[in-house]
Amino acid sequence: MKKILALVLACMLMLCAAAFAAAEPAGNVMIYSSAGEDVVLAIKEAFEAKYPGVKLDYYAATSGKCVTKLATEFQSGTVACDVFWPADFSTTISLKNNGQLEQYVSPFAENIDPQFKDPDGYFAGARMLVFGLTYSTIACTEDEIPDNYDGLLTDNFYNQILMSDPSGSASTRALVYAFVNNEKYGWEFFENLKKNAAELESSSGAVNNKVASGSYKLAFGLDYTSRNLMADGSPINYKDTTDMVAMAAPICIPVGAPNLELAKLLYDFILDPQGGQKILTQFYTTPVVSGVDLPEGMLDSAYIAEKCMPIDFADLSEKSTELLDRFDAIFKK
Amino acid sequence: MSMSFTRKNSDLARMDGKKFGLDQIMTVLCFLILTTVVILPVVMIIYNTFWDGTKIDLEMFGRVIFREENLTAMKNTVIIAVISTIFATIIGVFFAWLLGRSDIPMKGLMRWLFSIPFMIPPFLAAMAWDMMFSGRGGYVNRFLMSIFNLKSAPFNINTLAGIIVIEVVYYFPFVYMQVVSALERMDPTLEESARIAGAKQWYVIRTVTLPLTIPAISSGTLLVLITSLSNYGIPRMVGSSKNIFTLPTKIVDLVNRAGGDFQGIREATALSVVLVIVVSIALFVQRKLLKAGRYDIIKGKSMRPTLIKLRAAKYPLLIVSLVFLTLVVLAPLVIIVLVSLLRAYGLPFAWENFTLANYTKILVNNKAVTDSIQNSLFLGFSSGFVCLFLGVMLSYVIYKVKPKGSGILETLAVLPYSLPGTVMAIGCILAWSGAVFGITLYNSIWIIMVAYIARYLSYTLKSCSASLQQVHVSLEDASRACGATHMESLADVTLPLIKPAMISSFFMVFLPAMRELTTSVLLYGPNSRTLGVAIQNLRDNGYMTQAAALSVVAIIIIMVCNGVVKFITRDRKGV
Repeated sequence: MKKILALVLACMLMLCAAAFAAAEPAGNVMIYSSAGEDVVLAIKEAFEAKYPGVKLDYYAATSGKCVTKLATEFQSGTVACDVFWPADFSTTISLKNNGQLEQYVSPFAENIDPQFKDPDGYFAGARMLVFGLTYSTIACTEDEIPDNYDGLLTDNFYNQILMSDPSGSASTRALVYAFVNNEKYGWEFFENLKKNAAELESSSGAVNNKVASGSYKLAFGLDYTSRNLMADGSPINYKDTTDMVAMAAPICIPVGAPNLELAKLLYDFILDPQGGQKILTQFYTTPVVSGVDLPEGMLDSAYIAEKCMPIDFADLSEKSTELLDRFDAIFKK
Repeated sequence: MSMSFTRKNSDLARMDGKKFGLDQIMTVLCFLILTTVVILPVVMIIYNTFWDGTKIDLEMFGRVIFREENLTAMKNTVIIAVISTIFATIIGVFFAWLLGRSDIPMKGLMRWLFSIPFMIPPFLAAMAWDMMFSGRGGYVNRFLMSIFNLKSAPFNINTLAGIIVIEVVYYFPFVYMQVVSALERMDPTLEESARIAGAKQWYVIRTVTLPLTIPAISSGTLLVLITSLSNYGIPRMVGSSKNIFTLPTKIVDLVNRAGGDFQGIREATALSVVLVIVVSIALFVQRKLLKAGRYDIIKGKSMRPTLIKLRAAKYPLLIVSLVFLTLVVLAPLVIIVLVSLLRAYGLPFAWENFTLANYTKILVNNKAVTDSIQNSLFLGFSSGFVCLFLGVMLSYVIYKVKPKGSGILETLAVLPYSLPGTVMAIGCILAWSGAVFGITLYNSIWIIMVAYIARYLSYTLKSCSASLQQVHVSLEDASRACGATHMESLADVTLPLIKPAMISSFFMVFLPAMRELTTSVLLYGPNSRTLGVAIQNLRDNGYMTQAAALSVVAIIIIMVCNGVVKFITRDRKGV
């Protein structure tokens, strides 16, 4: 009897071991990310170290290209992407409305402020984009830089302000929306900016370069791109404003993702305060999960959530064309 | 003449006991390859423009086309394309004549300089020009202002005229490359008889030399026209801050505005259909114009054309050429090299700001970059060879076999090139994700190769057909009469005669394929990153100095390959 029991136990143990081995995640998982190649590479390294059986493939490009790639994949009927990480919520909202997203609530999503995640659990913010003033240290001094956006409408900044074109930059589109729906600013703010001869550039990269070369005094800049350039020694500086414009870049899982289980694993890893969120800070990117240790000068997402102007991304998603047309009517005359 | 030629080849084949002659096989092959590889992405784009998923939708097309800002963009596009094509043609033909037919010294150096613009991605060239002549603190502007005590900048590149200037100096080598090989293979007796009859040198050039090279000139002109129509990098870099939009920049904006919704992308494809139409018209006009003349000037007893002595004009012309080439070719290159050495973008060019750190960052222990170099080399060589093979076969079929529908063949082959790279990439994804015959190339290196072939076939086709039009049928006839098979006379007579054009057309594909940005950036998968993608990613993330460094690496690789292939294919003495 004992022998049989021992045998049964041994069998069960082996089965368990086998089951455990099978549960060890393995395979390939693909992420499309707007987070910048160096960020994705660091996440890939850490993720593959944690799960040795998994290979993380990535497609890193601007948000617009990631979105175009995925949209074309949906149109052609073959989705190759497991985790999708564009730059703003309007993309994920339109994907959600088209029924093109899997519902998934990560255990780490609890620590995210409600305005930075989807109430229905189709997507969640994974990194913060914070707008501030990026200025040239060649063309102007720190004292000249105002604390808030209304300080831009002075003669000192006539024909000296640069902004990325909201047509091409989803985050700038959200910034425009935040301003025009704020009582203090409204469309009048952009009309006055145009009167002060502010100019547009095609991408935030181009904006940074123009400011770095001293062609313009300052620009509506993103915190992490500016700080990365500053770390390289570029002659620019970055200043947070009193009225903040900030948004979260969401991650989600598209319907038809080739490897759903690994997609969830990667999703969790990116939101893990000890995993992806911690890695972000190496690249001056603000984590969306509050309470991660931050480098000097960066703000916690809980503080940002309190200070930033509200953006109704569902509404923006709906009125996007209208918004851009009106903006173009002011700026592209 | 063409009819009897066709009949003769097939008759000969029948006498050999073959059912199908080489001509027929090649014709069928051309139609097959073109419809599957080249035209499919364009068809997918047109299909998706007019089919909204449930019904035919013409309303959206009309609405997008007649939007005011799109009409302005069309106007800008046409103005830029037409003016820069005219100037690029004049400059290109001038230099082709100078290097091909005159005794000007330092030809080797100048030839090398001409190939440089092909190696530089348009956005980098535009950046270099912007840095020199920007109305806001360009280096040259600042220099001139300090010397002559000027109040405002003398040049402003951020204008329509600025875009045209950059495109002219960027594109004139297209015309040069086409025309120079035609001039070198020209029958000198025609010019000599004109001279003997008492014509002056300039009169001979105007009435004999130039008209005979019209196929080459027109194919170069057409290439410049199409390239300019579909160019994205230059108007984007130089024009956007001053609200100068062209069709390609508008198209890419529409793609970006779509925000994940394919209906939005359809508006972009609608706008690119306009480009397809414009280019089709240009092709049609070119064919009509060329039909008027006969250009088969290489007949039997051919010899090297004599070089024209420039005499007193020699050194002034040399100085003018060298100054011009230094300004338009070397200066941008120098700027790019200098930027690649900067510690951070925006710092002044001063000794203490220079570093090699950008190069170590991209080259040392950076597997992503070394992989992308390998992939680009593979893509450059493979698409170069395939395009060369297809281009020779196509031009032979179009201009020598002349089957019914040869005009359609030519149009089909050139159309994909008229699409901006982004739209072409969307077409390729739609075509090669299993929609057709269940073939899936997506996310592999093959989809990029197919896209490059579709995109660059027009280079080899234009180049080879221009050269082939100069070869008189009597040469092949003679070889057939001496008992050679059709294949032998092709290999021993026709192909050697167009060899210079073949080599230069290979490079016209290889050079841009090595640094291509806009198509591969949407198509690349985990194992098929290209050099262009790596450059673009660095640039998109704001690392302009590293992007410049990687471009310099790309240019060096391209130059080395260029040298190696030139060495292997050089004319051996005594052959």
